[in-house]
Amino acid sequence: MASYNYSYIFKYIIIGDMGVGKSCLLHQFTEKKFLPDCPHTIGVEFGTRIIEVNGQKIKLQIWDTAGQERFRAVTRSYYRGAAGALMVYDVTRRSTYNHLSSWLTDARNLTNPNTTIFLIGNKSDLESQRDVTYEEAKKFADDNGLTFLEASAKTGANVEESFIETAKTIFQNIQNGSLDLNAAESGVQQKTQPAPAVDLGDKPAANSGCGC
Amino acid sequence: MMEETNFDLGSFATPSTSALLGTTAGSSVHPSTSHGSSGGPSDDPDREQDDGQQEGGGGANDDLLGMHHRQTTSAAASAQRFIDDDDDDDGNAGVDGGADGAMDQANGVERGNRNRSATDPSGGRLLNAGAIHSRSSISSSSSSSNSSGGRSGGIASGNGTRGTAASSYANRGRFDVQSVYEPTTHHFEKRASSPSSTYVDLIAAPVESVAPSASGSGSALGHSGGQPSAVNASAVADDGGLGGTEDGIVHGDGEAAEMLDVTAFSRWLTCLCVITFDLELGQSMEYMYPPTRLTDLEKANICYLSFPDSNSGCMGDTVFSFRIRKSQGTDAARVNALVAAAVAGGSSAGSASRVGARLHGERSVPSASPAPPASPSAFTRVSRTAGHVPFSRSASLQDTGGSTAIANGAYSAGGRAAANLPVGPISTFSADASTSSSADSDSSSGSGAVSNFLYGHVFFRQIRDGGLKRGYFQKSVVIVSPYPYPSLYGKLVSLIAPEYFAHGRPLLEAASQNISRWPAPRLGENYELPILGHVLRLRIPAVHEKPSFYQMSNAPDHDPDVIHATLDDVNLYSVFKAVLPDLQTLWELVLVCEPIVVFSPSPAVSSNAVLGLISLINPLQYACDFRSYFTIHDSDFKEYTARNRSVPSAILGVTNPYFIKALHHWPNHVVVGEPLKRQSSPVPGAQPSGSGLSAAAPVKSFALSPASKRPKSEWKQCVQVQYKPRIERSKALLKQLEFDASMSDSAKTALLRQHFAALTDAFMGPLERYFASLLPLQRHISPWKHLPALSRFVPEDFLKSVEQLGPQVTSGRKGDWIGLYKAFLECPNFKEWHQGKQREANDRLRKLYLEKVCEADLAQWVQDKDELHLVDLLVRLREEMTNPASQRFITPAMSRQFGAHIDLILSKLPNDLRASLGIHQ
Repeated sequence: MASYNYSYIFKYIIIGDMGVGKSCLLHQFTEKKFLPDCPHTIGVEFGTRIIEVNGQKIKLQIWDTAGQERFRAVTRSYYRGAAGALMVYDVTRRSTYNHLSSWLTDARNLTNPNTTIFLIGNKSDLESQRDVTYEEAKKFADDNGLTFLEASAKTGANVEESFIETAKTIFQNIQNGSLDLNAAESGVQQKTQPAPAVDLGDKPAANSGCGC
Repeated sequence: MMEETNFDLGSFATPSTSALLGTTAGSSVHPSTSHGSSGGPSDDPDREQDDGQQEGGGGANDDLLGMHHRQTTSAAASAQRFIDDDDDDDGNAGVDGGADGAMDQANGVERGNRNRSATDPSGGRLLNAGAIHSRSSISSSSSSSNSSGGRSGGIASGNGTRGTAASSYANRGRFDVQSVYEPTTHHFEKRASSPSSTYVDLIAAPVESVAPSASGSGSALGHSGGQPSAVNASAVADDGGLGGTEDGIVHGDGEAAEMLDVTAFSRWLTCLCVITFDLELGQSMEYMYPPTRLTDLEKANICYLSFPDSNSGCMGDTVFSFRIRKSQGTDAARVNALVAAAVAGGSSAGSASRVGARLHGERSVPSASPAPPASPSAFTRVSRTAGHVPFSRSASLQDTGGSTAIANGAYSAGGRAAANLPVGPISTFSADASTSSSADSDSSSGSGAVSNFLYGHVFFRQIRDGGLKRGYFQKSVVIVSPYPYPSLYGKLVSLIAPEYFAHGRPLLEAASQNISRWPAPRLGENYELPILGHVLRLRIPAVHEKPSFYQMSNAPDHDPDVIHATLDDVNLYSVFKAVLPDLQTLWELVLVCEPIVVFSPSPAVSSNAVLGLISLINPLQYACDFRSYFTIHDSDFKEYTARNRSVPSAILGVTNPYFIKALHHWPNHVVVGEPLKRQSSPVPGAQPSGSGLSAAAPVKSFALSPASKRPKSEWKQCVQVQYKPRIERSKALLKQLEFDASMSDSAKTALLRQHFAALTDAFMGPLERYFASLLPLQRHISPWKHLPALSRFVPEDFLKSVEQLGPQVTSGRKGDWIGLYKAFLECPNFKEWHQGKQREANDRLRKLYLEKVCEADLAQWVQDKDELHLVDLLVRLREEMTNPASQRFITPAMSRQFGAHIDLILSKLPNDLRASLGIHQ
């Protein structure tokens, strides 16, 4: 297997109500496949993928949180040190949209001020069951300074874009200095050494971005 | 006869464990004080030994110390018979206790007989027909998954690493015995939604059904008749001590709709436990996740070893580790059966609740008796063997076939182990299914449990909390694991425990879920392990990986972020700085497996010191037992404190001053660590002196006389040995360490490591050279002949070689090297080393041989050969193809070559001969 090299690690979290398709989005993004029968997430799942933004290889470490209320307290401790937060609702279920402000409050309170928050309206393929219009959600996003896309974990539409746009925004923030890499919980780790000290084989070496 | 041994557990007095944590000062902590309020008829463990009949009456069963020796003679005899007869058959007989019901439990003889007569090992210990069914469905699901190449890597790895590895194993399935097991690991992609999914659905298996033991019938549930009896007897005793508390264990939230891939989880961890201090019961297990079938004895040991033994001076957070002996035929097998039952029940809650109800019903028969008590000889036998079970990184990681059967010998890992070979981790299910067909591996069916020991990694928190009854919050989170690596598990438990204290049980579920996504542990691999928002980077060094590679902080390739799964990340200098001049003596002691007891003020120092000691001889592996933290409550206490036989080769770390007396007869004592500053009564004998540092020279004043019930002497760090050091010390090193103030502790540790690595290297050099001389020459390997054998290791010859070119020459260090070698050749460390080398060499030879056979120009060779030679080669080729030792090395290409060879030979043989060889073409 090819050994990857990359310049940055970004830590992402995916948040949102139960059943909006967070795990399916992650799976679609990392595996390029749709999981039709996806059980509830216990706590937090993890996935990685290396993408390229502006010629830089970036490894995304993505934490997919459980939407269940039971795990709400647990998952909050994962917010810390996230560079990007994907906030997901289900376009066919208004309640999941209505809860966005609560998720947003959590995200704002528990991450650092420069965390990029990206809003995703999932299940855009189910047009006939739509319960939240694009325009309405777009306005919510604009009002709150979020980037917004409707996506479908099932068809894959806009899934890549969501993850990559988020990375681009983070990268911009690094470039223009608004995101301080030296800050303790920036959620970004820059690889300074040209090569990993230890040969990690097909598991690329990286200083993890989460203080461990 | 056996009925006599049925105890009415319900009649046991409430155990008095209040003395456990309150075991405050001095030697007043005689273990038998725990009898205080139990009202048992026999308060004196010694007396109990003599008067085993007391047992039946019950009541004294909270005496954890005397428990191994309680027995009725008749029961002992039967127990002995079980062991003699059933060693092999009943390795995981523990399973059947699960559902065999009260009748069986009441009649141990019958059950024993049944076990013995069960020809199909799996049949004898299944829960019921349902379980049989489920097991086969599981194994078939594994194989189907095998043929399909497995599911993709899932979200756990964006690189797809896992998926790829899995499918490559699936492809190799035919040639790699181990890989047969692999495919089930695919199921950790929890999306496997087929009916035969291997996930433990806790909805389907209600809480009660998974509870490891209920009080009363608990031990019967866990231990069946044929099981080695030491365990049983102890478990009986435990019920007195802990039985009550176990009712309180909650296994999983009722509402938890979770699915944890226990199989994948157990490759790294056995379980997570929360131990609390109950004012009534003492240490008790408050929670365990995932529900794991540990024996009562194991649970009792975990409970007791998870708290400071002798006082409450450890304020704040303390991280330490311990090691316990596994009960035989233990958890893994039982988990299998249980899970199998749950799966058999289907995913519908309805059928699952039947399982629950059934097991629940069992619990309600408290008088159902546990198995017969131990015969002392049985116990001795088990422990003596186990005492020499090496801790071997390679063996433990490679022997994934399951818990090594003690009866099969300490080194049974050897057959399968091969240095640097990737090892297919085994799922509980497939392992069980596949090993059950072979009588030999019967007793080793299991899962991630890979040796005779379990390791506990404890995060103990003790803080003032006025809101609580006692004014203190005292709890431990414990990672129970099959591997000892304190660097990994210590880090892990330090991440998990504080979060658990903040968020409660869902946090443990979340953490477990993360862990169940980790790829299987293999030697020589690097990992990135996501856990609770962190990514741990881990390297599991290969067998003979030089410690210098990662140990030296100034090494160019040193990466401080990478955790190394070794025993030796202990900061040697800070632990042993008060006894540095004696450290080399300790190196000799560890090298030749001399018994050592380490007295420390706290479990943390104790575990660091013990692990530090065994790491002194790196990269050589310490082959005897070591207990990084040992207490009076450990079920092996009696064995280790017994005075009527020779002191076992082991290293014990203790904190309880009682051991000053109890282990007085041990020849070598080490006292390390600054005394804790405490409010109340101190540990070993003394007030905080603060002068420990200055005690750089061995101090003889530490009174260890048995007469001094409460030693008045100062706590002084020292080394007292009944051993004459053989090798000259390095004074230069000592000077440097003592006077160079500019060096940090870790730099000094690196120096020490370098020193001892060089010393070990110098010592092992001649052994390595001599061993190399025993190997056959490569040119003697011929495809037309049998595999050449290694020459025998002859101690006399070896010692002669040392006289010519020993360390006295190569390292320039003076001393009685010959004497040291003589002692070494007698000790388990040598045996372990030698067997490892033999394995390695034989594997290498065999691989070379097989390659030569494949490359051989057979067409040329057959030209002038007669039938006899042809048939001989044919038979040999066929043997190699089916020989498990060879199969590991046979690649698909080689296999095709073998096939071609066989075809070629056959084509040269007359038809009638072909037929008689069983070939039909």
